Amino acid sequence: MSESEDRLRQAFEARAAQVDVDRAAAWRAVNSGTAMSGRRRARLAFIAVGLVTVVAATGALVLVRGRPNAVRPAESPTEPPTGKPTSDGAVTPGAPPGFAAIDSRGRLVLHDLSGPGSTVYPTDGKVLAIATITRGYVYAEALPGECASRISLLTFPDRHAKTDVLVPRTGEVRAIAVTRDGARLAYSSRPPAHTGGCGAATLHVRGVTGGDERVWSARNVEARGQLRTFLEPLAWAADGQELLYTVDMCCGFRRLDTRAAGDDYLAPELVGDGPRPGSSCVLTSASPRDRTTVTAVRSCNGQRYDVVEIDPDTGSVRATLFSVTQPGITVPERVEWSADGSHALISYVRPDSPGMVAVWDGRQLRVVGDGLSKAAW
Amino acid sequence: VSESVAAPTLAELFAAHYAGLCRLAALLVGDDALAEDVVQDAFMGLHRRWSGMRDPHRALAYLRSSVCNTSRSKLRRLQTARRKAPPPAPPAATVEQSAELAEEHRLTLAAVRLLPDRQRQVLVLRYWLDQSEAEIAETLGISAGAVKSHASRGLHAVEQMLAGTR
Repeated sequence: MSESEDRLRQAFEARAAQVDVDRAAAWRAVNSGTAMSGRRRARLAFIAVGLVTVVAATGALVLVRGRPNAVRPAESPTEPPTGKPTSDGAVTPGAPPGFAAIDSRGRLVLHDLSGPGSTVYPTDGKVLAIATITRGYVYAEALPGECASRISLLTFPDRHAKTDVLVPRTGEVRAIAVTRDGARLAYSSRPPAHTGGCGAATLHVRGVTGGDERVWSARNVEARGQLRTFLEPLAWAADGQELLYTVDMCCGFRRLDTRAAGDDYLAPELVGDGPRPGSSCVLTSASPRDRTTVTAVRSCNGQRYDVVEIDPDTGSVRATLFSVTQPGITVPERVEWSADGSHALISYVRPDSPGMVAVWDGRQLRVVGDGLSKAAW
Repeated sequence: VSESVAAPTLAELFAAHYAGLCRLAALLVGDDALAEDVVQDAFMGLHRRWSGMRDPHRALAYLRSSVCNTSRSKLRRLQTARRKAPPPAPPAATVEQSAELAEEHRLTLAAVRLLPDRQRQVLVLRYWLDQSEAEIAETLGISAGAVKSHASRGLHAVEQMLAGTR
């Protein structure tokens, strides 16, 4: 690629990232009739009526029950409209009523599945990673300086947002996982290197409320060139003791017993198969429902993806859970299962715009968040 | 094992691609509000044609074509209006946007803005959407040869303009 082509790509990306389209606001404007020219409002109303007609006709979207679309001020820290998984405002029976995600400007967004409303939770830096925890979220945000971030806990006591800093300063964090009981936190971090830039990834495990921290790193320096930049995704097994992660360039994952001695995250054997003809594993994430399993997303032909359940011991495919076909070019990068395993939250990356989030309800896949990424229930 | 191969609904297309299409339009017309108008026009057009669409899987391609064509006609209308009236303030980025855009990117985008419509469209589709020559030809309704020619001329023109700024 020539220098000019490279320059064009970068300039286009920079300019496109500035286009801040608030689709939810457009819908709200239709409802409330505020702050838009008559021409645009009329158009939006036309589109909205058309879409509602189509939705009603096809039954493609399952409409929420009863609750009016709340207009929430941006930058207003309130309890997430969703809370944690309950039946309140669920899009489909059994679905968690909302999720947290990162928007195109790196902000933490609490998205309500019961309507188009979203709440932007103000953070000091761009949000890099999110994990769900009972009645709240753990998130990492970038700090000024190279390869620096902070990890915080966001909860909602008395319906007000409350932030507690868990890790005041560490390297750049891109993946976080919290055990199901909310007791232990794992994250992968890249500290500044002595030679500039970010160094090799390290893996950290500690109690959410404090306590000693254990750190693992890649002892085999020669292997580092064959590793991903981060251990991502990270996921705790159902027992809350074993940690699963993808770090190798090839398709597969490793399973670390955090009770065992040792400080090398490459010590556990690689589990999972290599690339298969016509198919490649995009990424894996654990799906500990009643037992430890791994959910993998495999590209079949660039347009269709199989989400499969993998035996964590052998790496063999136990079952294909579902297949999805998406309009346009989208690549699933993360799958998050609801607590009861009935719904999956799938985050996609797209080459032409910020990410996208969809919900699989066991029957259909519905796009629920445009411009969002790394979603967590 | 269940499989979802259902064609997207209009609502799903809106949810999935409204923002992305606004970004495409913004790169073509240089103004965010005008870009939203362009995309709304495209969705309204699709809504009108929806019941008659044979293959809803092609809806995104239709929307992209529509955005490119409408952007072109809007810009022409703007240019005509400017010839007849004193030039209004250019549809430039806001102060905040300008501050955030690196100088290098600003120069590159300014150069792209000066290109003829077709060349600008081809460069945006090629270097932002990563479309192939065949895909660009389909989106713009022109031949693959014309795409190649517009891409080559556009890239050369941008290089010349940028060389002049150094």
